[in-house]
Amino acid sequence: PGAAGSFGVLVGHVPVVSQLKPGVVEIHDGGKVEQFFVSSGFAFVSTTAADICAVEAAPVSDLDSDTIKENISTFTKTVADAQNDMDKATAQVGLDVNQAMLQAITGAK
Amino acid sequence: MLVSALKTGVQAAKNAAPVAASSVGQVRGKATQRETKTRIEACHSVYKITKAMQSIANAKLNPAIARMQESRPMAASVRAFIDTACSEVQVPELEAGASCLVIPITSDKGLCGALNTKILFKTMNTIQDLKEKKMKIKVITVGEKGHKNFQSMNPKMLVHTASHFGKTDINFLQASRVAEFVTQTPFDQATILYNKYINRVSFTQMAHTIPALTFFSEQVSKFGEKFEFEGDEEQILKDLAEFQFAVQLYGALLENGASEQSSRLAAMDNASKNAASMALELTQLFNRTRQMQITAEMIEISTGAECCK
Repeated sequence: PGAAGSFGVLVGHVPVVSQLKPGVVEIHDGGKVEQFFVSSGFAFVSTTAADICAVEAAPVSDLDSDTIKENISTFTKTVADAQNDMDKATAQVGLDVNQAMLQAITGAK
Repeated sequence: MLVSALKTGVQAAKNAAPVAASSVGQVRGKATQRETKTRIEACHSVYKITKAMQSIANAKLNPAIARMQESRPMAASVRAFIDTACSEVQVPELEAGASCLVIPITSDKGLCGALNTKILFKTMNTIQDLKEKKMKIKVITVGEKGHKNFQSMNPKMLVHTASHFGKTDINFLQASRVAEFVTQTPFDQATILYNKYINRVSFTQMAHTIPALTFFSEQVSKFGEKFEFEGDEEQILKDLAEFQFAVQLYGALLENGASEQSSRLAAMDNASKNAASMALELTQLFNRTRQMQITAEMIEISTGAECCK
């Protein structure tokens, strides 16, 4: 989930540095696909490996839709009520992450 | 609380009059017997405290090692990227008068063996080297022990301190907060010093040098040759600079935390053994003098009885 758009990496990819936005990282191993939700971070692709350094990551199966929906309503309210830019930005970040989490669950279904 | 109780116990053991080598025929009065008894009790309480601290350190050590090992790949990958980038792009040689930030990582609590003295020694050496190159040096200590040391020895260099946050497990959020705090002081080069955990009985001092945060943004074009950037290069590099600083600090904090527990475990283990052996010696001395006293009294009584026959 690159900040400028999602992208896939296969062997022999050109070295890339990308910032990550909240979203799902899929790891394809043979036929198996593992899905992890990352809150943000960086992805480094070199000639030998792709490293994903996430600030926070959790398997998508661990996400709970009820808690997320609660969070979304709380953060939407906080964004609307925010007094200054800093509070607004912090609440906006929370909102973005939770909305992405919801998409991750509903998209995966 | 434990530490102050420990100090009182040790004080009691020291305050009692020194024990003269027991010689045959010397009678110790009941008063000095009492002192020996006090010393024995002091040793026992010291033993209990150090044993408790040892088991606490033991309990904390394994989770600390686990968390440190989990974080090692992330810190390594960020550093690998920085190293690759820096090898392609020349890190500018520091000119005299450049501002250097030295960040030693120490523990908040004491009684952890040589952990803090070793890292502070290395810090002093680093500062000495930088002084010879005529750099301006500022120190930000992480941890109370470092703070106290610099306050008494070099208060002018000490700019800030970050401490008392290791009570809950160290997480990335705390590390980012500390990183944000540290980067408010602009620097041309930062050096993070910490104890790297090797195994349960050893750790070694490491120093990582990090170029100024602006270095990344300044070298946008050079980075662009080596890597493809998804998105706005300048913004990415700016964020990356802050991110890598936080990640390196996080790694250093975790390594130092694991080293702290292992060092405390070894130190308290030693202290317990010493307290136990001291208690044993004193108890034997106490019993010997008690028996000698009884023998002396019996001789008195029997000679007295002889005389009165």
